[in-house]
This record gives sequence, C-alpha cells and structure tokens, in this order.
Amino acid sequence: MSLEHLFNGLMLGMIYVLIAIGIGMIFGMMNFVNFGHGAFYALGAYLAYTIGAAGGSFWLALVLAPLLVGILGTAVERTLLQPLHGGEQSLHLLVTFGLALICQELTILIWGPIGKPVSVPAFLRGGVDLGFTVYPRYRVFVVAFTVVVALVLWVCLERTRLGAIIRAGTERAEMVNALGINIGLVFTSVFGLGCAMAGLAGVLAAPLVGVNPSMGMSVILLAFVVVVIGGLSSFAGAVVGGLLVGVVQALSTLYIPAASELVIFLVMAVVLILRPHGLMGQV
Amino acid sequence: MSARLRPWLLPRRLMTAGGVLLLIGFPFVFSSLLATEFLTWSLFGLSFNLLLGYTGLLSFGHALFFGMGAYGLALSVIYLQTPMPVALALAVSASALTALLVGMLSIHRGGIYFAMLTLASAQVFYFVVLSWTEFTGGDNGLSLRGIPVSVRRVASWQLDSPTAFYYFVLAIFLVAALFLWRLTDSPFGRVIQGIRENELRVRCLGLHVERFKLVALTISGALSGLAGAINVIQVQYVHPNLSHWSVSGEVIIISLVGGSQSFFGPVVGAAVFVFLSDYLSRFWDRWILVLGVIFVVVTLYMRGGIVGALDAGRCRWTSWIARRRRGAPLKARGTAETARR
Repeated sequence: MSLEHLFNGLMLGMIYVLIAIGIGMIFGMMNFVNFGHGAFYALGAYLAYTIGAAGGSFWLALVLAPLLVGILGTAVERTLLQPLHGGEQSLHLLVTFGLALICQELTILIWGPIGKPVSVPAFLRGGVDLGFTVYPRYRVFVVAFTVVVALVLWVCLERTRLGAIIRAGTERAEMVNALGINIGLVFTSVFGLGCAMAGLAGVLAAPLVGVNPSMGMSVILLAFVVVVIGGLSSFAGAVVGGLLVGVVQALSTLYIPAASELVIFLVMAVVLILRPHGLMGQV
Repeated sequence: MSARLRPWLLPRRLMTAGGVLLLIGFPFVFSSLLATEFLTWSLFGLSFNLLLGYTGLLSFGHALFFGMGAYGLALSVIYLQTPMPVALALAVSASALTALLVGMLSIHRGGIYFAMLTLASAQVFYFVVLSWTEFTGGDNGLSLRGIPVSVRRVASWQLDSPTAFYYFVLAIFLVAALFLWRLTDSPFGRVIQGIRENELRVRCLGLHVERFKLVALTISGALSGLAGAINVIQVQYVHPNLSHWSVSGEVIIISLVGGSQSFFGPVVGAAVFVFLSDYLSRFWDRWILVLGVIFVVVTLYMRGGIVGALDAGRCRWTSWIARRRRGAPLKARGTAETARR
C-alpha cells in the first residue's frame, strides 16, 4: 500500500465530504432527504465544461458554477419542495429521485449523451514532488482547496451567529422561529448552500473523472453511503464518513478492482448493523 | 374501505370479468410481445406494492429480486439443464431466499435506512453479476438460444409463438394476482396494513411486527423474481442491467403513478409505462423525461396516482347523480365526504 494511493483516497474522500456536508446540513436542518444532490453535482461539472468551452478560465468556473447551482437549488426548493416539508421522508426521497431523473435526461438533451472532457488549468498541470512520490499538482490542489472550504464552513457553523442559528435550527426549528428569526429564509439558504457545495464538488471533480450524464446518479448513492456511515446530521460524521469511503474505495480499486463498489456497500451494511445511527450520529 | 359494500361504477364481479376478458383479448389488439411485457411489469408492480402500498415499506432495491429471479432461471437452465417449470420454481425460491436474507438485515430499520439498505443490496448483486464473468457472462450477459433444453417448453406444449407464450404468462399472472388479492384481504393483509398505519399500535396489540414485515418482503421478493424469470423466458437473454437501479426506479414509478393505495394501481401504472415507452420511444429518445415529469407531478399533487384520481372523480360523479335524483341544488361543497358513507 503506497502513500500515493492513500492520497488518492483522501482526494476522492474530500470530494465526497463536500457533497455529504450538503446532504447532512439539509437533512439535519429540515429533516429533508435530498436524493437530487447528485444532480447538482453533475450540473456543477457540466457548467464548468460550458464555461470552459465558452472561453472562461477554470477559476471563473470555480466561482461561477457553484453560485449558479446554488441559485438553481434555492429556486427549486422555493417552488417545488416547500409543500413537502414536515411530511414523510419516503416522499422526499421519491420526489427528489424523480427530479434527479428529470435532470439527468435534461443534461442529455442539452449536452448530448456522450461525456465531455474538462481540462486541468495550465497553472495546475504537472507534478509536485511530495518526497515519497511525484504527485499530480491538480490533485494536491483539490485536497488543499476542499480542506480549506470545509474548515471555513466549520468555522462559520461554530463561531458565527449565522452558524449558531443554523445549528439551533437543526435542533429546534420552531423555537428559533419563535425567537423572531425567519427560519424559512434560513432553510432556503441552507438548501442553496448545500447545493452550491455539491456544484463546487462537481467543478473540482470534472477534470478528474470527466463529465458524463450518469455522474449524478452514480455519486448520489456513494454520497448517501457516506452520510449514512458518518451519521445523518453530523458535520464531523460527514468528514469522517467521506474520508473513510474515499480511502476504502481507492484501496479496494487497487487490490480487488472487480469488487471495489461492493466493498463500500458491505462497509455501510456493517456500520448500520453495528452502529445504526452512523459512526458519529446522535441517537 | 371494504370492497364488497358498494359497486365501484359497475358491480365488482362484472368489472373483474371484464378485465379478464380484456386480458384474454389483448393479443388480438396489441402485439403479444408488448402484452407479455405489460403482464411482466404488472406482476412486478403488484408484488412491489404489497410492500409499499400495503405494508408501508419503501424498497429502493427491488431490481435485486427481479434480477435474482432472472439469473436463477437462466443459470439453472444453462448449467443444470432443468426443464422450464423446475427452473421457474428454482428462480422463485432463489429470490424468496434473497428477500429473506436482505430482510433480516434491513427490516429493523425503517424509512430511508430500509430504502438505502435495499438499494445497497441491489447494487452489491449488480456488481457481483457484472464482474463474475465466467459464471454469469458479465457485461455480455447470457443467451438462452441454442442450449440443449428448450426454455419455452412446458410438459408437452412448445410455447414458441408469442401468442401462446402470452397466454401461458396470463395464466401465471392471474394465479399470482388472485393469490395477492386473497392475501391482502386476509388477516395477514389486515395486519400489514395496520403496520403501515400505526406500527406502534400493532406492536402493542402483541403482534410481532418484524416477522410480518419479513413475510411480506419475502412474498414480494418471490413474486418479483417470478416476474424476472418470465422476462428472461420471453427475451431469451439475461443481462446485469436487469438488476440495475433504474429497474428499481421504474417499478417504484409504475406503482406510484398507477396508484399505490389501491390493489390494481400498479397494473394501471404498468400499462402507462409499457405503452408509453413503446409509443414515445419511436419519436423521442428522451421519453424517460416525460415519465419523470409525470412521476414528479403525481407524487406532488396526486398522491393516489391515476387510480386515486379516478376514484375521486367517481365519488364526485356518483354524489352528483345522487343529488340530481334528490332534486337538491347542483353546486354544493364537501360532497365527496358526505357521499362516501
């Protein structure tokens, strides 16, 4: 087992972390299961491709794509998903599954069924000598960037007033409302933020895995595995779960390529049986 | 709401007989191949709805049972060279066993955990079948043509023609549907509906909730496997795609669009799905988009699906008729409720 593969796992894991944080925040705050999160991830990647194809730089895409995805997510939440709040979780799962399916077909309609390439920005090409190996610069960037983003988010949640409101909303939404804070506005912003994170993950992943219509559906499954393993509404859980899944996936692809997908689900099954609320979830 | 108290539109027996006659006459109007596909999906949907509509458990991995039945039949015909009826029995047993095993792991957690665990199990099966190339043919699948045993042979009948095979499938479908109907109307059926409505109450009544859920899941899995096996006999080919998550999605869609709160909802949904896919796919590659839109609209605004909407319409119609007869004013509020009992 080389450190290089471990690093690959960390990089994969951090991308999952970004997506899982989004799902976790949305679930923790609004008790809403968003099965369409993968669609926002795919949208971010496709927007990165479009911006790149229109002549924009990668850095522009890095800022613009998550913004657009976040706005779209907010719009979807406001229009379609409002009546579902407070209802059955199965219903959320079903509606967002339907929306994800529609989104997948729309991306094929707009961009075509074949995958599109997104190239690594010139600044980040080449390798970095990390001592134990020469590692692709872009991957180092992805890890560093996602760690920074996760840290910034964590600091916002733990140290700012808005973060306190969000955390309070996770525990007692009605109480926050009763204290005079417009919880509906907070809900919608959290949803938009979660979607923006998924879009950001999509932009980052685009040069690595390419852009194709089924990327949304394939990532959502893994994202839910991460969230379930880590604990549905725990920030630390999303991080731990994401890193764990990323590393396990990288290592199993190395040692048992045929069964790499299998291993992840077995891990999830084991975790669910032994610790039903996830590794870091509260009962 | 008991089925025997009042006629739906016409007396229920008449409607059932009419439905059966319609099914018998299908091949003369539509292609037998399409009709068989319709029956396969109806069976799949009915067995899925036993779990969703009647027990209240949402499974996102029913493609597992469909695929297990498909591969069970294919593998037993190819490697064990069993005649078709034996292979069918093996396929159904295999999927029942799978359902039992999956159930034992996932039945204790409800809601989205159950959905995720069933999805994960289906994915595990999908990847196993995809990778075990020596045994299952992997991405190339397995063809049932040219093997020693004729898979379309039952006793002394050779069911090679699509029409003959359709009637064979129709017979199986009617038996299975009758079984499910009697099951949902039995004490067992009442208990699982009780579990759907108020699980805690059922538990407090002293009934072993997990055991009932497990039995429901096993039956559902077994009949889904039967549907999968029939599908393989029809197309003479088996491929890992039969247990892809999109198949799980499709059975969910047909059950909800048709109406998960009624017995025949999934049959209506299957009809919509099969005929829509056949008709639309000729004009538009992205016809699934239409299906997705219908699905979202139904789940958001028409919880009872098509059957539910027809039912609501029927209530308004019969109450309108009743008020006409009484000479009451035509426009009144809240009439659906007063007309119900």
